[in-house]
Amino acid sequence: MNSMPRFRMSLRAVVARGVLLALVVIATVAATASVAHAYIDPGTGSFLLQAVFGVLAAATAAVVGFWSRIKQRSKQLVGRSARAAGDHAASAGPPVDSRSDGRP
Amino acid sequence: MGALDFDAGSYRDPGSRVLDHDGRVLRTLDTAAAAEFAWLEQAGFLERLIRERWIVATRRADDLREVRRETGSAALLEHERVPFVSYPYEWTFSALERAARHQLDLHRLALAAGATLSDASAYNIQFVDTTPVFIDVASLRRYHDGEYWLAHQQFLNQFLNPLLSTALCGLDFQRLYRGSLEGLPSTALLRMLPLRHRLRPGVFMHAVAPALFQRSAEGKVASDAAGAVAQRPFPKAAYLAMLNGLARLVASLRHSRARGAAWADYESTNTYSQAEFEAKRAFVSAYAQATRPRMLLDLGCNTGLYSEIALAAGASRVVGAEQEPATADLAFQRAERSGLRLLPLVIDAADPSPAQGWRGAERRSFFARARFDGMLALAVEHHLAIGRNIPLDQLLDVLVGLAPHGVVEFVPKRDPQVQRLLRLREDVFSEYSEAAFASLLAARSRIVRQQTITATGRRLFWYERDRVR
Repeated sequence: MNSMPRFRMSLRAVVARGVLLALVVIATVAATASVAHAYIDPGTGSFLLQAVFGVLAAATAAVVGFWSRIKQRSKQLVGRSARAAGDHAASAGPPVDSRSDGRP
Repeated sequence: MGALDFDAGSYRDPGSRVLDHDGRVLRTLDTAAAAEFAWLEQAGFLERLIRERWIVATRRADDLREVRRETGSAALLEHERVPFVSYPYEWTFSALERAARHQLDLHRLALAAGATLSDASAYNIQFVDTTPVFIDVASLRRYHDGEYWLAHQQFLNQFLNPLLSTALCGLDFQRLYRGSLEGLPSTALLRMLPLRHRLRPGVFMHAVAPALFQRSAEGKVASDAAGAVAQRPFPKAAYLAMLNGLARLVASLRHSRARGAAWADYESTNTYSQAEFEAKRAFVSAYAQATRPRMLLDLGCNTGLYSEIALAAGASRVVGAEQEPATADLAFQRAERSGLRLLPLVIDAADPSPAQGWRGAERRSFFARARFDGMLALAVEHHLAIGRNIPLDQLLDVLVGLAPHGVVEFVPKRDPQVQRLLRLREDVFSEYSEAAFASLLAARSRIVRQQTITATGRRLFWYERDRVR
């Protein structure tokens, strides 16, 4: 009964959706705010996009880190109450890797 | 020492140029490039990349002091020669996909080792049979913390966007790519990308968003913003996330017309009976066994069946030329699956790749690269002579000129395939006959052997150019 992977997947899905939504908003705003210009520098758009990736990567890492701390804290709480309940501890599932997902 | 023969396509990087000298492929390095190369050697990274065949075999060519002095270079390298130089607009879908993955994997490997790639040109990948290999050793250099991926847009234009045009838009990228050597810009791709694909997360991030940002970059506000952005470091985690995302997207793409039944379709629609096929196979085998070509051209290679037969009989290596991209891709998959020394390319014999690019010499024409010592031209002659109106004498000039010997299949008018070609058009081919074909071939070569192989009168000719020619 390992429910952790599913939990992690859904977190990733939420993050992915958030990233997508943010990109849609930023890109739409960027596109509508554009002014026609004769000279097009192919690197400019790429730089802006990478900046967005950079911010999103940092934000994702922060969210994942925050989330894993909450999980760890709640696990400790559950563990404490499970220990208090004695032999129900076995139903808490296999030991969970406490490292954060780490994947941006 | 003669004049230095610099490669016409090697001019972009002033710090490193490629030249051909006494049959050796050399690369000059200036002081800065030589320092980067020395770092790669010391880190042990170079040796690993060569050993694991990520990059072309490379060693220092310190024996050629004269060349080093004449080119004014700080160091001189020698590369192993690639058997046949090909260009991305000649690759099949699967080949470009393998090349893209090779580029991304090498880049990720480099970042893990504290190195990076300074560009992402698809022309820096070459194929040894179906295996991609990276050839531009000079674009490997140290990674500086916080640096941006300057070649990001180049990767999209030269690898991802052509793949997406075939996978999602149903277009064959080869023709587009040949007309746009630096690749397909994201803004151009966006115009043809069907709406239903645009919001797929990977497609949005790596195809739609870059196009929108590129459009926005036309404004002054955006270019000022980019200037400000460049002052901030780009986190390595974000760099890797981009490469990982691109690798996932590339791996998820399939040729829009790829079907599991394609092989069965081909086998059931070819017009030979089993006995006829056996006769053709025996003829091709006998030719390959007797001549043992080191580099055979299979013109009109279809799915590579006869390339495989020739390889089994004694040919060392085959380059396949097939004009239909989806069929050529099946040949690529066959070669990959069976580990054949075969590189199938998308080449139309009636319109082969021209010389083009800077000075019209940067990318060489297919004919200029053709150094074949044997040829198969099976079931292709009628497509050119009837389907494309190429006069028989001109056709034979080209075929016989491509290699010192070969096997060509003549398909007579009464064959159902020719009948199909003529069904909806006027028959202007009054001179088209086996006798005319044989006499034109005999005027250009010595016919070693000939044999009629089908009930409809298809005939194979094994010819050899006169030595005096």
